[in-house]
Amino acid sequence: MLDPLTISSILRTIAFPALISMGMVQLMIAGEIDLSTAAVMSFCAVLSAKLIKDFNFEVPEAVIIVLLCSLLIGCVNAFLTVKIGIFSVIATIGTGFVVRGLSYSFTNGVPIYPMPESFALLGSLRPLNISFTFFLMLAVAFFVQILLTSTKWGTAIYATGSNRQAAEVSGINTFRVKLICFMATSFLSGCAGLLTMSQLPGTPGDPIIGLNLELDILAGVIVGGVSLYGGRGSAIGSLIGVAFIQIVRSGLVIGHFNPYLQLPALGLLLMLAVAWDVIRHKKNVA
Amino acid sequence: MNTNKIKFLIYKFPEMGILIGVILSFLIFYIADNSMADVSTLVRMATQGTCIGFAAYGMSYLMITGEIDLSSGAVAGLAATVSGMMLDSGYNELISYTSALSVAALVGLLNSFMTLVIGIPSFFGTLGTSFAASGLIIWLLKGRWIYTGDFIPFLDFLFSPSPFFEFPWVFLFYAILIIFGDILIRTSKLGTILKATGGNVLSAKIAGINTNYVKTLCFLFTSINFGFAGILVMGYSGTTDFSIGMDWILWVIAIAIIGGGSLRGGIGSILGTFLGVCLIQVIRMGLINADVQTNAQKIVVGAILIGAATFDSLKIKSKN
Repeated sequence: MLDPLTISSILRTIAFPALISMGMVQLMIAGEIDLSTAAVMSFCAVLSAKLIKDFNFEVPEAVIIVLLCSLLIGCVNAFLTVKIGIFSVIATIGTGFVVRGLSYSFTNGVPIYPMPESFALLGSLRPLNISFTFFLMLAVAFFVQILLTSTKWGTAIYATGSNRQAAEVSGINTFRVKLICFMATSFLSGCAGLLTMSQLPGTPGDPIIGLNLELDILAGVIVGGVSLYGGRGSAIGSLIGVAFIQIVRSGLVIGHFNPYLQLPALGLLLMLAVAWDVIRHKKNVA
Repeated sequence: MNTNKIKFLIYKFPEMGILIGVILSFLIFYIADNSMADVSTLVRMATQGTCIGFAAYGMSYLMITGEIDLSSGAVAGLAATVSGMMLDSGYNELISYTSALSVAALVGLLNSFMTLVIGIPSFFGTLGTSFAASGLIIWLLKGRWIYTGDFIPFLDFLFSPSPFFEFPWVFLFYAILIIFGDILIRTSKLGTILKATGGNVLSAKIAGINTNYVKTLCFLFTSINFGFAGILVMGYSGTTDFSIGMDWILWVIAIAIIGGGSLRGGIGSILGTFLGVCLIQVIRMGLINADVQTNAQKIVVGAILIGAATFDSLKIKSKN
């Protein structure tokens, strides 16, 4: 398992959920959850493929349009959760359903390819034989860590998550905080989807991209210290958590375990993390 | 009719809204494709709907008490697996189903333990048992599938047509349970106890209700219903494999919310859940008839889920 090829492959699988988790960690500290992340990945990949193939957009234009769409989805999530008042879990499951359904209906389930060479550009960069996305993710993680610990924005997020009313009273616009967090999460999901596409051979716009990945992200973030109740967590912690989850996954594959056991194993880890979170929360409240 | 009368009706019978939705969507699909109203189509919708309907039925009692159980698909699959394996080993139906339902009941106890003793919100706790049960199914089956079609005379009977428009007996059984359950909730002391537990746990405790006991019973009842639903699916298809119940998690949430159950508890209706199942079945059948593929159906369900949740949320806000 310590083979350099394996390590590079593991790092690659860590990169995508970790990238999205950088948005998710901010969102969860602010007290909300987003389960539509993987669906947004799929949707953005498929939409960009369709724009390029069927509507003859140039690669950069398609990318910009698609990323704008991801921001829009983030806005919808924020609106449903904060303005209408639906629990973020339900709302984002709903948007996730709709978005992934759209993704499948765009393609009839079949991946769209081939894509022009330039799309694979970022995907084929391999400094030190490790994927470009991994370094991008490290940079974003570093950036978000500083954001959370040393800026006013970070304080605003922690405040919103710990006690929304107190935050409002101190002058923080909690809706704006959550809106930006939702948009950031969706934006990073969109980026992850596009980057996944650019790294796969043939760069297919495949609606199956990211299937069940939202659980990996959620589990990773919670294992990394973010609380379901908001107000706690860190970027570095989330990175470690996501890495841990992916290492367990890879371990299961390498150990030739039944692939269908991955989901239950993941779920079990998630439950243990949640149980720990709940017990810790009860201790603090009591 | 002035608006006050309409508001009164909606307050008294919140299921009116969903009923209208069911009728409307049925009409829309009927106009698109007349075969919707064929007896054979209706029978098929009723038969398939009954399976997931039992799962939703059990859960609606639980939702009134303020909890939710996401392990529907996994427990159903587990019950199907256990009964399938036992039938395959030569045990008769009675023993097989009893064992399967006992296993389901154990899961219910586990759910109740996680929610009430450890304190994990039921949403996540039951999601966890769902994963554990899925893992158990895969481990038990080891990738094979079991043919049970020849060994299930009782289930075959349940699915055979009854004199009532050729709907299967199991559907009649289900419909009677719905009517019974709805009247029970509305008019009996049990109904009041459940609603009190869901409305405000503290007040219920002060009034002398043992809320933990009530919730545990509901979790048990829910899991047993999930198990029964799984056995029904096995009876309908004649085989047992690991795919039974796989998709159910999200469908059951959607049905529960559309049926008027609120995640905040205290509100929920047996009739509403039944109508939710009807709506989902009408939409699925209508979409299949219109050649819309399964994954695209998600768009409609997702939109309805959001719509129902929005409606629910606005209702609560307007009460305040």
